[in-house]
Formats: sequence, structure tokens, C-alpha cells
Amino acid sequence: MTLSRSARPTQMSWPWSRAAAAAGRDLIPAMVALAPLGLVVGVTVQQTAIGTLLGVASAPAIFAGTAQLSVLTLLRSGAGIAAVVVSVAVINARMLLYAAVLEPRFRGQPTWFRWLGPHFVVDPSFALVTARDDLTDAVTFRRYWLAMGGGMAVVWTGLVGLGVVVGPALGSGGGVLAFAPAAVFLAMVAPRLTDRPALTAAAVGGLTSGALAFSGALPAGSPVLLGAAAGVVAAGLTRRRTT
Amino acid sequence: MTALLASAGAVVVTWVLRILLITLLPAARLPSAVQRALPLVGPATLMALVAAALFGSPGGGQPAFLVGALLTGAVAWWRGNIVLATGVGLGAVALLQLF
Repeated sequence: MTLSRSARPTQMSWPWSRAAAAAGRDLIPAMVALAPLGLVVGVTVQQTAIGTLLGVASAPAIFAGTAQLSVLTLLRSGAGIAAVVVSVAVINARMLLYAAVLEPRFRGQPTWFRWLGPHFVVDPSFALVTARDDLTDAVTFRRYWLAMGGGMAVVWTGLVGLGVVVGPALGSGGGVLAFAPAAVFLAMVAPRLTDRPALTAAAVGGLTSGALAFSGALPAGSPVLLGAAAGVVAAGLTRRRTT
Repeated sequence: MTALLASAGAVVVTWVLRILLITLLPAARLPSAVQRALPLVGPATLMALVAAALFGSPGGGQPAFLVGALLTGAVAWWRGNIVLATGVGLGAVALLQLF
């Protein structure tokens, strides 16, 4: 394995132990966010005749809960391969935005990492990494990212497997669990709303996405993508007017 | 076989979306106006996710969820502690659903 000059360990780089410890601490709220969706995906795997092995093995491979849920739902309704792939592309289009924001962190990294590392780009990992300001060192970021992403993949697969086994028995806890993703992402974003552009982006993004999701007129994933785009445009206009 | 191919297709298309602006067309090559807007993507997308989860999920938009969201946001903004804020919000929703 060869490392580029900027990716070589320095005195500032975190050792694996520190990166893994930080990732483990950060994963606790992420696990709360992932739990409901993982269990729902597991229950759906059980209800779909694709086989438990393929259903659970797809969890770390796709590594995007809403998209996997749409795959399972579409297969259950008899949809073809093309419909499934197009649906997944629409639902996961926000990954483009996440990738664009995270790209500077992948710059100067080894080639293998720039091809394989982005597999862990997903809502919680994006929220966790962009909330930290201590990952500027390339080696530190790589170790943290692999520890956090690997841990999240293990937890996610476990949750889907757990959903296959115990999902139907969850009963009344489902109501509170349904609120968990909103709570975690809100807790992640609220402390960052410290200036007018960020507030505008969040307010317009939230209002647009909420209204579209409530109407139920668009496929899953589209309200988030359109809301995010509206928020960024509105905040950009605000910033331009201010300056 | 359809399930296997559809799952494989989902894996490939998701991976391409993830690497497109990192490895294939690095975001550094995007127009400067787009690059200036990137820091705004985080707040906009995360709040869009929150709103979609609050209003788009089954049972979404119910008062307990909205009260829980208000409390979660307030505690997170005040203390900056994700676990504490999440716990307060989930606890509030659990309590409200009991009554």
C-alpha cells in the first residue's frame, strides 16, 4: 500500500485507538437514529420472499436504509429491475450533495480509499463528520472514517438481522421508535444554526421537505432532495444580499 | 434471480452516486458558485430529513412528535449534547403517547 505525501502519518495524526474511541462515542446517537429503520427493514425482509440471507446481506452492501426499503417494497409488488434501480437513484440522489461536501476530506488520500471509502457516505456519517472540526489531518480522517463507517455497517447489519427475528414482536414501541431519526438529526443540526445563512437553509429546507412529504405526492427521497436544494438556494440568496 | 440482480443494481447505483463527486469528478472542479454553496448543504439537508421524518412517516405530523421535536431542538441548541437532546425528545414522545 502506498500513501500520498499528504496522507502519511504525522505527529498530529490520531492513532487507531483514539480514532476508534471517538468513532465509538459518536456512533451511540447514530445507532439510535438507525435502530427504527433497521428494524423496519428487517421486518420487511421477512415479509418479502427474497430470502433472509440476501435481504440481510444487502444491508451493508447497499448501506442506505430507505433505498433498501424501497427495493424490498418494489420487489414485493412485482416491479422489474429497472424500476428498482431508478427508484434507488432518486432516493439516494442526496448522496451527491454529501459527496460534494465531503470531497475535500478525501483529497490527497490513497487511491483505494477514494474508491472504497465513500461507501460509508450516508446520513448519519455525513452529520457526524461535518460536526467535527478535528479531522483535518488526512490520516486522522481516514482512521476515524473507517472505524466509524465499519462500526456503523456492523450495527446496521445487526439491526436488520434483529428486525427479521424480533420485529413483529415490537408492538407499541414502534410509535416512539418512529420519532427517533427525526430526534437524532435535529439534535445534530440544531447547534450548527448559528448564522443567518445556516438558519435560512435549515428553515427553507425543512418547510419545503415537510410540506412535500406531508402531501405524499412525490416518491420517497424526493422531498428531502428538493427541500435541500430549496434551502441551499434560499440561503445563497440571503448571503448574497447580506454581502 | 430478479431479487439478486435488483439488489446488485441498487448497490452499484448507490456506490456510483457516492463516488461521483469524490473520485470521478471531484467537487473541487465544480464552478466556484457551487463550491460556495456547499457549506449550506449540511443544515438544509439535515433539516429536510428531520421534516420528512416528522411529516412523511406513518403517524407523522402528530402533536407528540412536534412537541418532542421542539424539546429536542431546544436542548440541543442550548447544551449541544446530542445524546441528552435525543433522550429528552424520545422521553417526551413516550410520555405524551401514554396519555
